[in-house]
Amino acid sequence: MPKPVPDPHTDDVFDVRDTETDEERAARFERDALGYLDQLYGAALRMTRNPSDAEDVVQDTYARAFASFKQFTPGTNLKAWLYRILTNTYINSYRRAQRQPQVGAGDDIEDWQLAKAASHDSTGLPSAEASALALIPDSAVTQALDSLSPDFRQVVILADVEGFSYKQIAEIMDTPIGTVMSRLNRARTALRAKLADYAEQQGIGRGRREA
Amino acid sequence: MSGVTRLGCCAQWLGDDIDLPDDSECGVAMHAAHAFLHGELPEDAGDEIREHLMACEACMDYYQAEEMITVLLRRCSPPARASRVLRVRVESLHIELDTEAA
Repeated sequence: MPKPVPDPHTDDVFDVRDTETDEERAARFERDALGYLDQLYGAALRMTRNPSDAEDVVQDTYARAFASFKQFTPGTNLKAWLYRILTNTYINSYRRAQRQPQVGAGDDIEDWQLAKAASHDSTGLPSAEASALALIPDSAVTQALDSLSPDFRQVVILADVEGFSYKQIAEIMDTPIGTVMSRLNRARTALRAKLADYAEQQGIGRGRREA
Repeated sequence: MSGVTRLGCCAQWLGDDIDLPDDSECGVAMHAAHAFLHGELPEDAGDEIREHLMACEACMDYYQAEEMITVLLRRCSPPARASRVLRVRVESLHIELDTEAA
């Protein structure tokens, strides 16, 4: 359900930007936007996987956000707005410069795999799969997440870790909601297959399955 | 979509964005899993899913595993803390930018 958006053209909506000075706007930016520093740093860290790069991305993000803060509509979602700038900054400045090998799994998940998974007998996963998954160590989960393509990793992080709505993710990633949903489905299918493989290799949950 | 009976609202909500490989109830339920778990489904579609999960153990297992994966993802992404150096760098930004502009 879309929330009602205040119409900036109606007279009864007071827009602080109409009356504030540059100094006041800077103060408002500091008061409202700096509170997201830790969260943005955490997000940047997950994108870059490197503290020093993450700090640079965050600093660039705040510089860009401050420079265009006049375009931000007060009362709308500031966190999503900052995440969008963060995502763009990362994509434009860092991801293109990186030449990381993209380890498969992601775009190549086909519908038949989804259908196969729907039939529930594809991999013979135990009905106790959830409890087996719970035993997988964080390092293996991180590795599985990092092996996804950047867009897939991003959509999973925004939805599952950061808890953004699909509509906000669509805005942040500048894609239609349908793309958000299909990316999420495919990313999570790939993730689940990787985690199931890991559990299989390590014998996690095997005892339960045989029991 | 013709084969879908009891998950009609769900199938409709999923719409044309996703090319459903399987229009069985389980196929629809699986495609709606993340939207349901992320709280994105409208109420009527969510009710259909809940009803289906009560009747279908396999889908219930699937949903539980998907929910567990979300728990794992959160567990391995603990909140980070920006360093003091970064905080100072960001806090002094507008002073620098103002100076540049001046």
